[in-house]
Amino acid sequence: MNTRKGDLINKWLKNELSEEELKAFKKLDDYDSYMMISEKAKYFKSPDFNTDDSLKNIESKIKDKKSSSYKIRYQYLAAVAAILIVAFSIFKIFNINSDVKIFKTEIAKTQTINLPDNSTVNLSANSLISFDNSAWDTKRNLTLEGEAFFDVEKGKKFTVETSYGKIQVLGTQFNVKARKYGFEVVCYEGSVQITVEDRIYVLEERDHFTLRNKKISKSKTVFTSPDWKRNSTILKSAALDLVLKEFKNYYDVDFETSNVDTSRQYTGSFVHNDLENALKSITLPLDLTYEINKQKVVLKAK
Amino acid sequence: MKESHSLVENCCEKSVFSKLHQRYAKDLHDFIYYKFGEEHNPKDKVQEAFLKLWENCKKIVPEKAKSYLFSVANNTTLNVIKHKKVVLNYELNYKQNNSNNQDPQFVLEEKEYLDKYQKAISNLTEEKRAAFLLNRVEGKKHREIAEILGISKKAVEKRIYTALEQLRKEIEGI
Repeated sequence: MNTRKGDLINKWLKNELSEEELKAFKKLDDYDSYMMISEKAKYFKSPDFNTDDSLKNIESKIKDKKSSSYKIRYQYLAAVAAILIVAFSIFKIFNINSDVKIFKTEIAKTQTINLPDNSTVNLSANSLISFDNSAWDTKRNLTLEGEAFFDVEKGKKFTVETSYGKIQVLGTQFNVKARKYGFEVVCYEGSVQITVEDRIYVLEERDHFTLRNKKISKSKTVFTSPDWKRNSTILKSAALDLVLKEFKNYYDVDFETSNVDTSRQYTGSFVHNDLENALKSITLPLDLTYEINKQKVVLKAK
Repeated sequence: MKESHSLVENCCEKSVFSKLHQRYAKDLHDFIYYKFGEEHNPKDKVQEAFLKLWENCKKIVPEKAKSYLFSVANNTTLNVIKHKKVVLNYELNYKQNNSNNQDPQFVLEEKEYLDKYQKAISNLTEEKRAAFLLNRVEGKKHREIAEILGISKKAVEKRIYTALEQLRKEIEGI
């Protein structure tokens, strides 16, 4: 009986009752209570589930995941950018705080400058050097406009930057003339490396490097110190206008040259401490006369 | 060879994915609801399962997607609840049209009965509750329930039957 009852119930649950079996099922004592349970089960139905909404939600979440990974990348980039900006500003601040020293000489004046490492610079007339005092320990680097003699202590690479190129040494004595009208380097001790327009030239002791009118020439000097330190300028085969430009570094004068040929070549020297003497040194070999009229010197052919 | 096959036939294809969702999302929701109740938000579990399917879509062929979805939803819910008592809510106004003019006595009796029913349902095991309600409420065939629960048809039959008997005994206080 029990197994038959169970059988009927199972078939009922599976909707597999035949008509006869259904009649038998309905005659069961507990038929009403089974029906009641089955009927009332529907009260516990799960909440409505909207498939379309669900899919939309899932798809938007998939998109969010993708875009959030982009967001992370953007945040990462932003962080890197921020760090760079901070680092750059710190660098800038230090640079502003950096102790750039400038030394400038007037016409006819010279100056001796001691660098932080005991190297010395003898600055010729009408010249300028600048360097970063605070960075000197890590970088011996200075800029020159004009002419100067360097006595460099041994140590790290010492660099002189000019508008023509740079001169690098480790420890030596040398003179650099970087005037608007010409570039000359003379090595008095050790060796010097010159970089001009990506080409490298090496000077040994007593080598004299000249760059004039885009032509490079090398010669030997007999002197152990530059001419200007002996209060004179030595010129070899230099055009008169160049000579006069050089002259004006040491004497505060203007030249009137309308009656002379300034392209004539001059070889010789002039002193720095005697205007008349110096003018004679130039005019006599060239067969010229001079006339001093206050600040103005008029040159004339004889 | 097997890999090349699965590359073509994986669930990453959007049409495949939404078809799987269309077919299984509601069953998945109901399964989680009847088994674990509403407290752990079956709708969220459905989303989680499908998102996980999407993440692993390259590894899962559509034929395996169903069992994957159900086991993921089942496991994530199990991880949260540790066999906590499940109380399913009922709606007294389930058949509003028919019960518009119910007298208070009837409503009270109905409520009493449903309260007992609710308690009895809570006392069923998760497996029995899910099988019974999927069958009685959702009208799922034994075969379908067997697939959802990953058990044999015979086991489904037994669960539903014993659930019914247990409910009757509890409700009628036998």
